[in-house]
Amino acid sequence: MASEKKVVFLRSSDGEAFEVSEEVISAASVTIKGMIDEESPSRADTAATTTLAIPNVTAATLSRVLHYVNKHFDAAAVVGRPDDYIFCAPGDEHPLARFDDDFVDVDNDTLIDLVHAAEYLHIKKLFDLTCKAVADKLKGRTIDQIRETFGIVNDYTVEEEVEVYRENSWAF
Amino acid sequence: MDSGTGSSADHIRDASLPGCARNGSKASRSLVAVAQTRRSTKCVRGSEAPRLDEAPGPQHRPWADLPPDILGVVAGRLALLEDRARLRSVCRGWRAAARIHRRLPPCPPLLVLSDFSFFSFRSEGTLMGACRRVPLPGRETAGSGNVRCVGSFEGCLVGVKNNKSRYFGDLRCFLMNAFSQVVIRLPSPSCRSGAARSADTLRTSLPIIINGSGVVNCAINAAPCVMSFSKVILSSSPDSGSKCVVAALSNIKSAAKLALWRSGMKSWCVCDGAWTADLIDIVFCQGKLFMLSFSKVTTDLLALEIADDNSGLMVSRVAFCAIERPEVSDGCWKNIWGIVEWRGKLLIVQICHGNDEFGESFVEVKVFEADLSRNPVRLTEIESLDGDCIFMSPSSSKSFRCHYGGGGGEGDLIYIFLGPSRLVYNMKDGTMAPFAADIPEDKLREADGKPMNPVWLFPSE
Repeated sequence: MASEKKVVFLRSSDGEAFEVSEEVISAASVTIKGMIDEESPSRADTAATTTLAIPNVTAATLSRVLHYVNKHFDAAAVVGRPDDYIFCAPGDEHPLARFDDDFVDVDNDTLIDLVHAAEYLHIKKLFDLTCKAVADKLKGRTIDQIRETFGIVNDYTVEEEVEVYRENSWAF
Repeated sequence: MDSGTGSSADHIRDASLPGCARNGSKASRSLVAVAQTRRSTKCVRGSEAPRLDEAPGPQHRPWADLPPDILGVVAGRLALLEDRARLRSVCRGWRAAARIHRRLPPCPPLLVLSDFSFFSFRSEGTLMGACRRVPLPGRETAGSGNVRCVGSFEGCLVGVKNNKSRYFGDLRCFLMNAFSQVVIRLPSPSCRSGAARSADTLRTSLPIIINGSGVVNCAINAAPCVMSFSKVILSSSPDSGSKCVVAALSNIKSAAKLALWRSGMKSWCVCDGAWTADLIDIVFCQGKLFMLSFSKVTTDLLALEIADDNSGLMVSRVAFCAIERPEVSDGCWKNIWGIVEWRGKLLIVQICHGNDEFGESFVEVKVFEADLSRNPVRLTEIESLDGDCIFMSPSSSKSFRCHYGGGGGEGDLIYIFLGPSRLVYNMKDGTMAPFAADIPEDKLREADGKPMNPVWLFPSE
């Protein structure tokens, strides 16, 4: 477990750097694992820590993402399954289900940032979680309610609206 | 095909705008009116819109511009067809995204009642809705007589319109995509003498071979003919043109008939085998049409091969498949059978209602796989559908793998909506739960008191 101590720094789009265990973030994020793998030959012989630029994610979002990543790691470490911690599905009985619920109980601006970050960083579990949260906001809502919730303006032409209505009015 | 527009529902749905022109001008006007009304209410809210545009942040319209990949994952998390339909209706971007989504996990079906009102599933397995109806094309509903739904294939419903009462047979029959509302008209199930010229009539009489007895008489363009359909099945999507074989069961005046049609035929091929049965079920399986008929004493399975020549479809071979009737539990007073295709295999589902020795009523469900390579056919009871579900109703039965929004949903369930049986049977543990109990009884009867047969609708998106 010597590698456990290795850390990397992630620099957000607004310049803030966050420290995270290399092992954790590599397992969580396909994108960052790729970056680290690319970097590793040049740093194999040096003790210097790596700083990776994450240009698409703001500090506020990145800190949330890392909170999620660490939480999921910690939970697994307790169970003693460091290798598959990321595969802990947030099921009902899962200890992290509550955490996950709270994690995505955020305003829409934060949520969409998390969705984009999870997609960009390629953190599948987080991406699924955030997309599910978006889906939950859509369930059972009327179109007008959805537009209002997400601040979407009806941009159809009259002709398009007729077409949309004809195709989908059974569900309205 | 008697409707040029019926060539491809998907095609039309994918085309962006010209589809409007296909509607009758009257219909278009009324829809425009609807749209304009809706638009005008939007203008009021429109005054709030600039506030959104002034919102801080580099992204102008973060939600409207959500990439298709992400919207696809979100849509896949919605287990209800209505929710998905509303999602793709929100704005241009979301609508465009819906067209390029990767294939979404299939939704549970809708239960369409005979009057085209429908219920949708909740993940708990209960049904909701029925305040909505699938809109019917005006031309099919005009005039007197009830229109009822008697079958389905994927997103397509089969409708028939009767002549005064069912006793006089059905006057019209049509296939309709429940979502694009593209209609394909089929020949009338009933025609009076004189409507067809006897010179055009083709008749054939086929012996029922392999331990069978009797004959099946088939006729095309024969008049008079009176049929009232109770179940209509399709061998493939109506978009596949003449490859799609439509088979219909008619039950009128205690006589059961089988009718066949494909695109291009001007009349049904009507088959009469003097079937005497309490109930008949049909299914396409392994390229043949199977007909299960059972009465109090017999359970027969016929395998019909269908040939196609220039004049249309005709039955070319009828084989009798003897099946050993499975044992029935003591106290069983009503036995219902259904056949359904599952992964190329023929399954026979037996639902038995009875009273045990203490007078308590019970229901028993058994599923058998029919080994068609043997004669007599051997039935083997199976206890798993490998995660699939079966949806059964008198007018449509289908095996289907569906995912609810959560973790893939439960499998090995049989949803039964047959006569008095409304239940979900769990094959894994043999348990049963009531199902659709909240549908009021009067929704399931027509004005003439006859029971309505709901159908399952399985739209593919």
